[in-house]
This record gives sequence, C-alpha cells and structure tokens, in this order.
Amino acid sequence: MTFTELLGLIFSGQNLAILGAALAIILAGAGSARGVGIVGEAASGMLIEDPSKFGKALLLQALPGTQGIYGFVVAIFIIIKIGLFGQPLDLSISQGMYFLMASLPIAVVGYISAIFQGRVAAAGVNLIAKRPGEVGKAITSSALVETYAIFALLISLLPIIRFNA
Amino acid sequence: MAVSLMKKLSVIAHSNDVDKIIQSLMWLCAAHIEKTEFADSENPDNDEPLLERIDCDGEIAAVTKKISVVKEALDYISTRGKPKKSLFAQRPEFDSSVLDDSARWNLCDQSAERIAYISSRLALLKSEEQKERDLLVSYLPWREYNLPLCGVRTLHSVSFIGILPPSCSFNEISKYFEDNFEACLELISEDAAGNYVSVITYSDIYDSVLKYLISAGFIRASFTDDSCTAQSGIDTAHENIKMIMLHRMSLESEADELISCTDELQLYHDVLTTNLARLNAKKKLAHTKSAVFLSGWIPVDYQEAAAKKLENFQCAYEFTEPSKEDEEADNVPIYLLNNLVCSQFEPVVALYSLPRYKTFDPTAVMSIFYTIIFGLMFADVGYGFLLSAGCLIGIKLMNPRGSMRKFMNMFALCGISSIAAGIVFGGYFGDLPTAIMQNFLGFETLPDISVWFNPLNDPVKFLIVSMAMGVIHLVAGMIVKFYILTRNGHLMDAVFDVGSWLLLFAGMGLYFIPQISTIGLVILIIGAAMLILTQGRSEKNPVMKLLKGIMSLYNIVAYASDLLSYARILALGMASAVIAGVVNLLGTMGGLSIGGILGLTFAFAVGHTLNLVINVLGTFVHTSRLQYIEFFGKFYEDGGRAFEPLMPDAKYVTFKVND
Repeated sequence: MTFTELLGLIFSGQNLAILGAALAIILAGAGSARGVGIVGEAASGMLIEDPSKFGKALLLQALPGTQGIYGFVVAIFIIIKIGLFGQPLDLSISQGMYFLMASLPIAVVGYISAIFQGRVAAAGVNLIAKRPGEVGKAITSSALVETYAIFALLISLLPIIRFNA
Repeated sequence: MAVSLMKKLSVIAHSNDVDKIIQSLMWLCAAHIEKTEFADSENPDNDEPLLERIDCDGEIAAVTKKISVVKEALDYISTRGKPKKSLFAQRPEFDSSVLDDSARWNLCDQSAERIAYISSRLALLKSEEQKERDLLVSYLPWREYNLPLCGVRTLHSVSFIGILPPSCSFNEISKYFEDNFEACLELISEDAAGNYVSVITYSDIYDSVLKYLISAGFIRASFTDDSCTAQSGIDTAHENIKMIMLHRMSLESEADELISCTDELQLYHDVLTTNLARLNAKKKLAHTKSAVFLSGWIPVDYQEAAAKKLENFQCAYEFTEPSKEDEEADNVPIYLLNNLVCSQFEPVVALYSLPRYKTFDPTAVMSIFYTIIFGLMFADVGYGFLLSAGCLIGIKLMNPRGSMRKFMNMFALCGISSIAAGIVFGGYFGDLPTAIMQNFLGFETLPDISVWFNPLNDPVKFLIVSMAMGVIHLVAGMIVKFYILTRNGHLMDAVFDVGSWLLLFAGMGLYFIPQISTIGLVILIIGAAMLILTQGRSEKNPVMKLLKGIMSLYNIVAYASDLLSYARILALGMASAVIAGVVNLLGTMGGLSIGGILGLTFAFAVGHTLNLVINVLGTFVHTSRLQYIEFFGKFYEDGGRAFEPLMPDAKYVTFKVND
C-alpha cells in the first residue's frame, strides 16, 4: 500500500469528522476543566476563612463549565449527523473536513474563553470573600466572557445542522 | 409573594428587666435585634460617658466554657454507647421556664464536669498503659537472662547484651567467636527481630570483640531502665498494668452511673446555648446606670404579639416606620412571605442575594420555572423517584431545621417534576427497559416508551424544546420588569423599554409563520421603530437621541446570547441519559443468566447511584445559574440584608412557651 493510500485510510471522511467531534470536546473540555479548577483553588482558599459561603463559591465555580457543555453539544451533533447512532454515512474526505472545520470555532474559543472566564470567576471569589452581597456582580462579570463562546457555539452548530449528505 | 414590611422597634427599660425582656422576645422568634446606635455623650456632672454598650463578655466566656465541658461529657457518653433512641422519636419538649431553674443546672454542671474529668483521665491512663505494655514487650526476649540488663563489669571481665540481625548465621559467628576470642557468646532467645545474645569477655579484648560483633550487625540493647533484671522488669510492668486497669475500671463504672443523666445533660446543653444566644443579643444593647436601650426590627405581622409581650414589663416601647436613610442603606432586614410551596425555594434566592426592601420578591415566579427546567434537565422517572424519596426520608430521619429543610423539600418537588418529564421523554433509569428488552429478552425491534419523543433519538427537536423554554423564561422575565415599572408608576417607561422589545420579538416569531409573516414583519418594524425613537429619550441633543436609539438595537445580541445559554438544558439532559445508557449496556451485557442478573444489580447499585449524585449537583448548579443570570438579570433588584430573628438555639430538645 502506498503512503497516500495509508493517509487516505487514516484520514478518511468518517475519521476526519470524528476528529472534528474529538477536537470540540477535547479543547473545550480541557479549557473548562482548567477554568473550573482555577476557581476551585480560589474557592478553597476563601473557605478557610468562612465556610458558610460555600454555596456562592460553588456557583462561581460552575460558571466556566459552560464551554465544556457547548463542546459536548457540538460533538454529539457531529456524531449524530455522520450517522454513528444508526447507519454510518459514507463520507468523502471533503465532507469529513467540512465537519472538522465546523468544530474549530467552539474548540479554540471554548478553550481560551473558559480559561479566562475561570480567572474572572476566581477574582469574583476573592470579591465575595470580603463582600458576600456582591455575588451578583461577580457572576455577571464572569458571564460576559462567555458571550464569545456562545457566538462560537452558534457558528459551529450552523454548518453541522445544515449539512446535507 | 412579597417582601414583608418591617417596623423598627425601640425599647427603654429598667436594667433589672433586661434579661427577661430579651428572653421574652426570644420566644417570639420574630425580633431581629440591632446594635443600638448612639452618639458619644458625656454626663455634665462627671466625666463618665452617659451611654455605654452593655459589657457581658465575661458572662459569654463563662457560658462558652460550660458549653465545651458539657459537649465533652456528651461526646464521652456517646462513645460508651448511650441507649439508642428510636429513629422516629420526637424531640422532647420542655416548658420555657426550665431555663431559670438554677439549682437543677448547678447539679448538672457538677455531673458534666465530673464526666469530662473522667474522660480526660481515662485518656491519660490509656497512654500510660500503652507505655507499660511497650516496656513489657522490650523486656520479654531477655527473660532467661538473669543478670541486670545494664551488664556487669568486674575487675577483669565485662558482660553485655545485644541483638544480632536475623539475616546473619548465628552458628558461623558462634564458631568464629569460639575459635578467635577468649569470650563467651550465648544465645538467649530468637525471634523475627533477630537473635538475642549475651556476651561475656575479658576486659582487654573487649574492644576487638565489640568491633567484630558490630561488623556482623550487632546492636547493643538499650532500655529506659536497665538497672533491674529482665524478669523483675517484667513483673513490675505487669503490676503497673494491673493497677492502671483497676483504676480505669473504677473510673468507668463511676462514669456509667452518671450516664443515666444523659437526657438531663442534653437539656442542659440546650439551656446553655439558648443563654448564649440571649447574651449575644444583650451585647448589642446600650445602657445607662439604671436603664437599657434596645432597638430591633419586627415584621408587621408580629407587631401585635411583640406589643403584648412588652406589656408585661414596665418599659417604654414604640414601633416606627423605617426611615428613608435605613431604606437607602439597605439596613432593613428582608423577610420573605410566600405560600407553603414557594417558600421552599427561598434558600435558592438567598444563595444569590435577597431582594431590596419594598422591591419585587421573585421567589414565587422563579419557583415555577425552576421546577420545570430542573425536570427538563433531569428527565428520568427512576432518578426523580430516588431523589424525592431520598429527600423525604432524609427529612423524617434527620429532622433538619431552617434552610436545610427547605432545600430538601425543594429537591423533593423537583424530583416529582423530573418524574413527570421522565414519563414524557421516556427516561426510566436511562434506557433500562429497552436495554433489558434487547439484551435479556432478545427483542429485535425496540418500542418507543416516551409519551412525546426520546431526546437521544432526536436531539435537534429537544434543542428546539430547550430554546422554546428559554423564550418563555426570558419573556416572563421581561413581563415581570414591565409589571414592576408599572407598579412603581412608570407606565410609559414600561411601554418604551420593555414593550418595544416584546413587540420586536413577537414580530420576529410571527414572521416565521408563513400565513401571517407580513403581519409579523409589520409588528417587528413597529417594535424596532419604537426602540430607535424612545431609547435615546434621556438625551438632550436630538442627534444623540437618534443615535442612542439605533445603538440600542445592538442589545439584540445580548438577548440572543441569553437564549443560546438554554442549550445547556439539552446538554445536561443528554449527558445524564448517555451515561445511564452506558451503565445499562454494561449491566445487561451478561444476558439472562445468574451472572447477568448479578452484573445488572452491581451496575445498578454503583453506576446509577454515581450518575444520580453527579447529575443532581450539575442540574442544581446550572438550573440555578439560568435563574440568576438570564432570568434575574431582566428585573431583579438585589442587595437585601438577611432577617435573623432572635431564637432559642436548641439541638436536642424543643422549648415550648405558654403566655
């Protein structure tokens, strides 16, 4: 078998599409994990002084988790569209690349925005350590970062939903 | 459905009556005692200040110390296995006058101190016994050696003892010893730790003997007290251990007699903690030589009851409306009034922030959407049933108070909603029925057990359902804003700020229905025009007015991002369903056999429990987040201060009041 045939086997249409789904969940999930972890560390530090604020801290900790959820949604949609839940479609390499490219927005933006959202939420944890009544402001600041992940989700989903075999 | 109106209470009373008055207000369970604010002023006759804060730090320290002693006693009693109360026993009730029974409490004090003392003595004795036992163990291998353990030095000879490692060959060393030294190497005993030997040698070859032995791994034995022989050391240790045990037994039997007053001690504990609560309230008051000043907040519904209680004392009291400064500075505590069902959701609101005084209380509206969205995300009959049953049983067994109880009630309600959603979307522990049918019973085609559709089969449809839920939620938030603005008398603001957006969205929605799409377009244009014309009305410059109006259309991006956030309903619902599906697949892999059924039980117990716990947490957090950010963001005025009424602090008993 020639090298191009081998490449064609490794990067077949189906595989490229699955790679797209994998990227979406890998990068978005990794970003969310890191973001949530950053907030968790800040929250643990705050709880040393005042364990009664755990509920508010938990809420802030959950905020960067959104990007992982969005990556998961995109990955599931790709998997469904290429037929892995029923009859696997026979995709050409170009169609596989279609899905790979569609997954890029949420993958990259999900990773980066989750980390930055984690940093904002961690700062929010520091805020509620001194001023427990301002948790609303902390949550709002953190949610502003999420706007761009939402745009990325939309742009990722549209080509996938509109795919016609 | 509302934030309760508050009255400010001010009381001036005799110093003698202060404890009784505070206690009386405590039984009301509705008085939030405030720190009495006063300006520094001085008596013109002497230099002492006229008003001072009451100083009861000494009393507080004494009561705190007593509480820790009683706690220690109760801990000790629980380690001795106090008589187990039946799981469904009610808390014992006592009349409130019991707090004043000082003779009874003095007796209790002594018992508690005695038990605490016994507990610490026993701990000490236990460590002493351990020391003696360790000593015993160290002497035991040398029992056959009848010289003093420190060894003996005569004029020309030395004897000493030590341990050779077990890895060395004792016979070889013994042979070498015999051949090379004029000395005697004797094996006393051996065990896993090594060979215990004694050496007798002439003083002049002592150094070379020792050097040889050390090279073979010899270690000299050391003891804390080596002036005695092994046997006498063992005997002494035995004696000491026996004495310690006798001492322990006598102390323990004394403690066992005192255990009979466990109930009394628990009551005493609650009396002390309630006294502590009273003292902490007393700390906030101000006093002169013979009068005290109390200030606090009472909800209007309790005003009469408070007045009746204060009538029993010779004091002056008045109820006033909160001042403008108090309202502005959010000093007025917030007490929410809701019906029985909605009030279970108050801790969720409090977790974010309480509403400001005289603003809208979102609990009732939020509770409806919370239940529905929680149900949509959780959508499983089996999990919902376990959640509800678990919470109700937990309430019965643990009998929690306050917000913990409300949380558990709330989860039980959400569990019922999940059951309903599970029936609609066909989730019974994930896809357990179809998995059983496929792998155990060998069905070829699997029926669809959902009433509407299964989200795993048609996720795009479920995404549309989530978005629809989002639209309803957001529009409800905007309607609440409209209502609030109208209620405050700003009808025009309501129409321009909220009404125009509602028209725009209505037009957008109608546009997608083919028959009336032109009507939709018209409404949409009207809404957009209203926005452009009215959103700049606070500006003076007409150009700025128009510009600001056009810029306001950009907010549609914010609404779109809010709407897209509801995709998490799809994501969380699918995540729990997919994991449950995997658990079922693993569990039913064994087929219909003994092993298969065992596998299913195991998968059930471990996999579904884990899935349930993780998903309850995730669903709670994300449903709350949707309320706090998307819903509350439309209308909520937050920043209120919590209402913390003075209440008896009782863990084991309940105090009853009779007026």
